[in-house]
Amino acid sequence: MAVGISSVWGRVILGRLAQAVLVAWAVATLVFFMLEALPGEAALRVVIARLGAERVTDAAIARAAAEAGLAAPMLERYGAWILGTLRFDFGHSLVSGQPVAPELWRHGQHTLTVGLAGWLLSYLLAIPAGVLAGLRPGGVIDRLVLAAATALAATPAFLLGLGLMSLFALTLGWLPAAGSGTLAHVLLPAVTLALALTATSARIVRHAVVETRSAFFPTYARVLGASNQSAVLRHSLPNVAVPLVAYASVQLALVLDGFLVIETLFAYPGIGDLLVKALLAHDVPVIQAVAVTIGFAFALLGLVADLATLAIDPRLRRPVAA
Amino acid sequence: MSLTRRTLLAASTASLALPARAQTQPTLRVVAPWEVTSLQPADTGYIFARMEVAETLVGVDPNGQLVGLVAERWSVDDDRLTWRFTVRDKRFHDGTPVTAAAVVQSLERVRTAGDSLAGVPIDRIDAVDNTVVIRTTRPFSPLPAFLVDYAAIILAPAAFGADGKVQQMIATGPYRVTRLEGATGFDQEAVAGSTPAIRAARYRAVGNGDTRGALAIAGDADLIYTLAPQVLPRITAAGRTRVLTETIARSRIMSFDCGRPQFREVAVRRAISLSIDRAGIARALLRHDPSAATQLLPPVLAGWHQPHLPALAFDPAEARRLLDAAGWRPGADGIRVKDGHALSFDVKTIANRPELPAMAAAIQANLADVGIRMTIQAGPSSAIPQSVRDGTLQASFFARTYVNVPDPIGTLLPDFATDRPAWGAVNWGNQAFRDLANAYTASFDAAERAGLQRRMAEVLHEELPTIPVSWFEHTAAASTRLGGVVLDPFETRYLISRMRWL
Repeated sequence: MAVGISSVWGRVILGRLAQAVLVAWAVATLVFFMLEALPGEAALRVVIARLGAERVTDAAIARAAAEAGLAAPMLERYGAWILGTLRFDFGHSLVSGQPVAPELWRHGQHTLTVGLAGWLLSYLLAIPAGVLAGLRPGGVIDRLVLAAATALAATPAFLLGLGLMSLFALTLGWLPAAGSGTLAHVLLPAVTLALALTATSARIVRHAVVETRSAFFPTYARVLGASNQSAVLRHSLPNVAVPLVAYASVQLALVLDGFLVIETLFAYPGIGDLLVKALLAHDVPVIQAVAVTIGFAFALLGLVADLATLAIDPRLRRPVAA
Repeated sequence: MSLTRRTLLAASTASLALPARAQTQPTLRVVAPWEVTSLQPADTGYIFARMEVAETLVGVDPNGQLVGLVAERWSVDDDRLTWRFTVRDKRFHDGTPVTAAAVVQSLERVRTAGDSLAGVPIDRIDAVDNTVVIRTTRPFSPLPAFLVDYAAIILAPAAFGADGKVQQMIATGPYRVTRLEGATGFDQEAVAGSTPAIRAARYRAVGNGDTRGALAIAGDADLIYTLAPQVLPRITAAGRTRVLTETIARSRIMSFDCGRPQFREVAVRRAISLSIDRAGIARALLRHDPSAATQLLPPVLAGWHQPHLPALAFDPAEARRLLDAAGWRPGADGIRVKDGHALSFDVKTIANRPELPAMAAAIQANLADVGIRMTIQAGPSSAIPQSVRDGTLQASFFARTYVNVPDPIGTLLPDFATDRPAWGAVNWGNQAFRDLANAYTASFDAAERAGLQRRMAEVLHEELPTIPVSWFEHTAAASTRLGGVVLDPFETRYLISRMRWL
């Protein structure tokens, strides 16, 4: 049996890691060819990002194209990029001339801080709200949670952020309106993110609680002599957790989507901020590096979710042949 | 104790265990849209020059007067080719003395890389004792003004790496950089022994205009540059910062490919100009009546702005008469036609300057009234130079500065004396203007130069190779605790060394 379990774990880990590499490569390759297909001269956009639009000259464009090797054939540049990435060398930014990796790490730290804070906060809100709503479906709390979740889901992240900024920074003066550097600067972007995420996760929790309560196993556990508390803790909650953990990993996509808007609004120098500016500047090495990182992170989070689900749900650990 | 932003910030700063530093006065927090994308002078020299970290040989005061920064004084020899700039007795931020040799090295690096001084016919640059000697291939009187260009900031030899790129910002200004935070900004402090009352400052780039407005309303920064007109009443109402406005040497203009049938005739360009309700646009969209342009160059450019020129008028009836007389007759759909060409065109404008698409829409309605169809294409700023390069530009609408260097000739030469300028009149090819511009750069006689300035302004006013719509108000917000704040119409310095805490 022990051998069977470890083979399940091993299969999940190897499968997901292979998937991570494949996803990162596919995303970055897609981005590379999409950027190639964009109309307009890449060197012109790089020059504008560096010198400003008003100082564009033919000579500056020619210099930028030569420096960045943009005149080389497309497949040659693609090949060079793949080889560099395999050596964990993301190259240099076409705009700043600096290595991409440290820049990615600097922005990544900011995003991780807000992302983790917002993600955890969303579950601090979603779990109690969802459980309370699910315990009495159709009740007052359920309807209130549904109304709040619908309103939050229908509100774009930038509007949510503007509202919070207007209330807590401009009107009450409790928090800084934008910027970075202190924990106070993390709060507004994190809360904006948390509220956006809570909208859906509260509904997931509520649904799981309703399903679990109507299932037979808590009753069965009590018939077998388990206490009410034990039935909930040992049988109900793990069953609520399974869909929640699976959904939590999917939320990364929402987190990244939200960051593009939230970081721009709060002038927060995270990955989203880096990506938006790199896209505007046609800074291919930076865009590629962000794409690879996000693709890889997305797949790794899937791995973590799979492992967590395996740990929670003993049914998944049963050997297939058994 | 009530919960305030300051207590939260203080608590959160402490929780991050940032090094505590005894401070006798607050750090001046400066916010502007521009990121520190690199340390290269041609890329971001203007940020370090504005923050008074870096200096050029020559600077310009808000009144337009050229002043010595790294140079103490300058003169030109009788040959009108040899310029001598005496270097001021001062030190770089790393403690090394500012010598003529170091200045020459710094200038040569940006010049040979093609980053700066490209418009100046420089023969050679030499160091002689404590003097920088610049020799030109032909007489070029605006040379000192061209040295104000931020790409020509003077940096210490140790600032450059082996590849010739700037690795550290070691300059000569009254402030030195103490910490760089990527593209987001940097911290700076007054150099020991220097006189500024503001001893420490922090520059932060905030690209989003709404966020800059919010920072001004909340008082979360002390100097916030470039604000949208619609946010100004809220800033004033909040009372934490005060709004400052200054007309700067920048104009919002329509530019054309004058080689196309629609724009080849001066009569058509005049008719377009007469169709535009500049006063209405200034009032309704810019909320500032004096912004309506009466000629290309605004009054702040003394000598170039010509008060005697008749103001550009709004007269749709006269526009129709001019077009009729030129043979442009209304077609079945109301759009004027001549020789099979419709008076219809696409105008490219820049989407991230929010007032431009709105102003373009107003112009579109004005032109429709006289039988001209204009289609608006709002896009990234790269779209305009791109369309000039690939020959697809018909017309464009954008804001243009005329003080890339403090003498507008630095902008007028590339915009009106070349065939395919990125931001000027494409295919205008007016030889009279080129002759005037060249005569101006060669003249050292003040009266003669004034006459040439007047003639150039008159040609641009009569020919309208570009059509001015409005001048430009530079807006900023300053903390109510800050005194001595002045907006520089030449956009070269924030002049924080002249400010003080109240």
